[in-house]
Amino acid sequence: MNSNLIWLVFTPLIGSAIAAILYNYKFLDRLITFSTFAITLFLVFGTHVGQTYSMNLNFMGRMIPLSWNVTHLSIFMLYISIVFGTILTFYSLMDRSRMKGFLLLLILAANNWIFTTNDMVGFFFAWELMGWASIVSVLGGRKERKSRHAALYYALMSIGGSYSMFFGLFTLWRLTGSFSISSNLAYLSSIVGVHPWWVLGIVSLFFVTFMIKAGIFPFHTWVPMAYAYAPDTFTPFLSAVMSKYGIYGMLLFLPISLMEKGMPTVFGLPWVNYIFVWIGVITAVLGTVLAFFQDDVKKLFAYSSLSNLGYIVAAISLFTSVGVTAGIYHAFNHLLFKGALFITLAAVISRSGTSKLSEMGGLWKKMPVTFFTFFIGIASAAGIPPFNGFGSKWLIYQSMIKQHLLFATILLFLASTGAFLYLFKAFHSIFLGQLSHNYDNVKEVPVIGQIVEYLLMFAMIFFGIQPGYILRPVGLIVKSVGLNPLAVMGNGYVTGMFSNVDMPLIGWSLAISFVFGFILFFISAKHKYVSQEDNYTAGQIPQDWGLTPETYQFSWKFYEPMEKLFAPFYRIKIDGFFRGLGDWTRITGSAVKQVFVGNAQIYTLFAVVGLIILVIAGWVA
Amino acid sequence: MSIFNNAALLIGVPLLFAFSIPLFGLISKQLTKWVTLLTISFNATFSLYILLAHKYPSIVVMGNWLPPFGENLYIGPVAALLVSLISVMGLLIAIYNLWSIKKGDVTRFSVLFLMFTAGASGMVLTGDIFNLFIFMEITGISSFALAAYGPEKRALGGAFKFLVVSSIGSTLYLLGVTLIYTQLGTLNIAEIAARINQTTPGLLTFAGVLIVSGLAVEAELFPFNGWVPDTYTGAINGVSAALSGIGAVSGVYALFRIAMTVFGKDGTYVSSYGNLNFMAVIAVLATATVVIGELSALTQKNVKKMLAYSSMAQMGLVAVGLSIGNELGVYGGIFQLVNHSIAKTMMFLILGVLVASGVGENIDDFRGLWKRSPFLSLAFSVGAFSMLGFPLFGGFWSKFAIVGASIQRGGWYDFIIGLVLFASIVEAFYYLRIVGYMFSSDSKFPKLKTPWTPTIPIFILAVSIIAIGVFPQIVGTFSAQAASEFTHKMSGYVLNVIPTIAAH
Amino acid sequence: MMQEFLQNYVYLIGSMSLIGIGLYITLTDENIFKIIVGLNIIESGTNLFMVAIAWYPKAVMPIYTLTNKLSINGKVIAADPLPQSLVLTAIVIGLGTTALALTIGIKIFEKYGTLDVRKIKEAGR
Repeated sequence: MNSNLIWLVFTPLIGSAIAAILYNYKFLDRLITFSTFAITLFLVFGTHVGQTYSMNLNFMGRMIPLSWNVTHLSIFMLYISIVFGTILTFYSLMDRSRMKGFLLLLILAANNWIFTTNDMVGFFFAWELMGWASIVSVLGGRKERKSRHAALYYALMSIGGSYSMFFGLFTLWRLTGSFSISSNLAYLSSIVGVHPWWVLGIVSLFFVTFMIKAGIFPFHTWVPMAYAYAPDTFTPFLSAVMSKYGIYGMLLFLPISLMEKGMPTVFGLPWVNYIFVWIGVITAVLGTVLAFFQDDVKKLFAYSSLSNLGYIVAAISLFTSVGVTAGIYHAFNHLLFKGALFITLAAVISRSGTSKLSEMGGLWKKMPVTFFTFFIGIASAAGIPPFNGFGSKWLIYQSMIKQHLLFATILLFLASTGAFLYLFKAFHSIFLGQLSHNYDNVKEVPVIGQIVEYLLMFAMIFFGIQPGYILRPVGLIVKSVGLNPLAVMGNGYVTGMFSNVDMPLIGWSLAISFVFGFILFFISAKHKYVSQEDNYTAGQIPQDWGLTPETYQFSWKFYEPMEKLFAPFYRIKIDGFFRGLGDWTRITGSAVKQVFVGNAQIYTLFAVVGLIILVIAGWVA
Repeated sequence: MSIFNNAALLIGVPLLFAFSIPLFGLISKQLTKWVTLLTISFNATFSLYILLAHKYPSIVVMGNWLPPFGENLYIGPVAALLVSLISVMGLLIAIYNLWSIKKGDVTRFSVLFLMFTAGASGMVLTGDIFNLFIFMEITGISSFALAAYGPEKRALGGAFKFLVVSSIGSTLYLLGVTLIYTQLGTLNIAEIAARINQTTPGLLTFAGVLIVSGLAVEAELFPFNGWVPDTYTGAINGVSAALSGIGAVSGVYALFRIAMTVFGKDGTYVSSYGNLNFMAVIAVLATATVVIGELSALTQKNVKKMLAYSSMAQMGLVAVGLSIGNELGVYGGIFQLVNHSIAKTMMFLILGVLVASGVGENIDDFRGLWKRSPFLSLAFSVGAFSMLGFPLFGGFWSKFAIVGASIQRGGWYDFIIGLVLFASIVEAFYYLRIVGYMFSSDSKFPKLKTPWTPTIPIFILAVSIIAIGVFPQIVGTFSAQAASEFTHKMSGYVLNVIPTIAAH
Repeated sequence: MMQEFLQNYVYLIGSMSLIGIGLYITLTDENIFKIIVGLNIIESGTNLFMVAIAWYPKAVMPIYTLTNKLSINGKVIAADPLPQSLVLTAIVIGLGTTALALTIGIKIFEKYGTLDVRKIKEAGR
């Protein structure tokens, strides 16, 4: 019995109440948010694997046991989410976006509860809490109308997902009479050989929820809208931390498939897992392809997020040692680099006032620290070796190849190449190229923001060249789900199936060659700085051709040929289904409303007809 | 059987003061509102005392005639909880009325309002099937008049629709009661309940259909609920609050008292005697109500009408919960009834304050309300979140229990709850749309000045929603007792009223 | 035969017809006051029904006197007095409802300027 677990939930709740009361004083709200995150971090220091706590909730006139249980996975998730949250809230102290601190604290409470709970009541409670707090958080982005639409869209998907889980958990309860997650999982594992379809049905009810929250195809449609139009400081949390809840949920349920006996297998995988690998791969490719063409930078990185979650899902659904290691490792890496990227984006957007790529450009001189953070961020996201994204992607490919999923691996490779393309587009459009005159007075972010950026830069390099610090706890998690952990040779090594990679060595060699190239660049290159309009017009007047300064911006129709290439696929609209459902509901609603456009007689007639139907029913029965 | 005759004051005092209010009105019109307030606060105090001091189960006998020969009131867990709910809601609305009712015939409004709460309390307390009719009519007549109160034209139209449909409903109920009386020769609920299996099944079914149809009018179940949108929209906001927070409570209570205690057959899931299982009938009607109510509210631009549709749908949800018929379901239903009563009352009161301060009823008028009046918009969102069943708000626990119970029952209830959850997503859309309008937009209009008096009830209600959400046992304990009363008709009701009666 | 049938059931038939007539008026006539009359007729039908079920052929009045025995050989032959008292209550309630309905009807005529119930509905939703 360790009561500190319950304080993990209550501290943020109390902090949230205080912050909500002081909401009008924005700085106080942010300060309380930050300090609550910091206090919670200290509480996590006192939390260890194996700690449990349970209490009884008086509900329905009987006692419902609520229990907490710290596993290797939960402590890992707790650490990464809360550390990132602390950094983010520290950053938000200077921030001017309309993020509401008390809602973030509610999400933190839910976060801690989700990761530590061992009963489905608490899990569902926390899940819903996180859901509505994040829905309200999405409101209040820079573009009001769009952020409201995004929030509503997200709300409908999220609530639909919650209800799916609602069904699932009560179905389990009907079968076992218990709300405990671990015993229900054991039960599911025990009957999976007898009633595989039952188990599949129940688990898929849960998986719909997790897929919606993680934004996995075909439930990804809310992701770009919500990420793009949420308040700028909230988007990092949404992308870095909140998408991982779905991954955490999937990891809870995936061990069941190990014991699937009667299931036909494909490539040595149970076919359900095989399908999931493909769902992950499709998500990865889809996210990449859609990210090419975005002009809104937050939307671009939202699709990038989608793509990365596809990688994670593909890896963990293999459920092999390498797969799970790679998945969790990539989840961590994605949290780090995508968090860093979205924080730098928040910095850029707060300074430039726009999120359109075609309106930015050349900002690197004005915001050098942000520029370098962003640079390392995209290098990590692209999986360039000394930085932190490399190891996990490398492991993911290995795990796929090991299962002989060649076609899927090739698609993932393509997605990764595509990632280079869109990352470069974002990088170039924001920071390189010519500086627009609108941004002559742009300044670097304040000191607090710079501290955060330095910290993130350091983290991305450090965990890139010292992956052992992450791989060891990941190994413990892998062991706790019943697989053989990968050997960790040292802090500097990523150990795969076929070989080991010495990260520091790669790091040094790349750094040296980089320095070398830089020296060459300075010695040899001749620079001439020109204005944006000074270009290849060959004596013609640009205005005659309908050319404006924006069209000279590098990112103007950046990948036009490729856009043409993919144009046929654009007609397939996944969210068309959801929109159609929404339209259908709305039309039905308008039709149904006509029932109540009547006078006293019509209403009486309804009642009499109802009575007659009941009488006939009674007569027949 | 314990006798607690003082509880008759819960009906007697309001009625006494209701008819003596014209005398106070001779002194000052404003005094009558205070008399109303004090009378209802007596009721609230006394009923809370009964509830908290656990003075139930007990009966009130008139003139020492023990039931089944004398008329009696029965205070069980259900009645104690609901009469407290009714009185407390009445008290809070009365506080609001101090501010809101200024012009017009204040005296008569006070008379009607007291009669209304007295009638609703009577419906909940009575142990006699004909007295139920009388109290229903007292509630009904006073609520027609209340609904017609106010300067607006649409109030009259709404009240007239309510009157016609409700008159038909009460006639049907009376016919059903008469049929039962021909069979059993008694009007005492406990005795009828104990001897219900001695009736002819055909006649019993017919009587049951009449009674269920009649009571469904008050309980706002489709297709008997045509009056709801127009009446709620037409009435002034204080009255709409009273209709949804008080009237609907007593209506649902009456419906399920008859369906579960009188017609009910004990079992894991309560079903009913007669050829038709009335619990299933109500479940179907209630599901239709939920779906139709939420869909109608979806495209509604007028917030008040939207609340009216939502109110109807929520009563459907309550009825779905109760009609599941096991303890968990009834628990959820009663809990939802309390939550809905609190939240919807609060939202109508907020709307009243907003309309009085010049904000319109349309959804567009809610733009940027957060900037104009943080308190009211926050309270409104608390109410909306409770309706949607978000955690940390009261509605979470009741929805949780209702869904749990339906899935526990399984079979076609899975289908029902699927429809209900689909309707809930629709509900989420239109409530969150308002919340989005309130929070995400800036407004050019100036800040609102919120008057103090109506703020008190709104504040109390908002805080109680969160309190229930964090500590569900505040209501949960009582609704669990209520569930046990509803699901065990002999030990929960009949034997407490007439201990000597032979179980059938 | 016919006469006996009528004697036994005339009140029941009458009450049912009254309810039917009232319902027909309520559902078909557009005039508010006729609808109120229809409601009244339904009520009368209900009241008649209650009185009718309390009485059965050859029942004696339910007042105990020396000549009017209420039971013969333990079998009750008196009419049931309770429904009649209930009817009194129901009549009073009906009076209240009717009065209120008439008031609302007059007010409706003042404000809407019509007595056609079909025109009294919310417009533009």
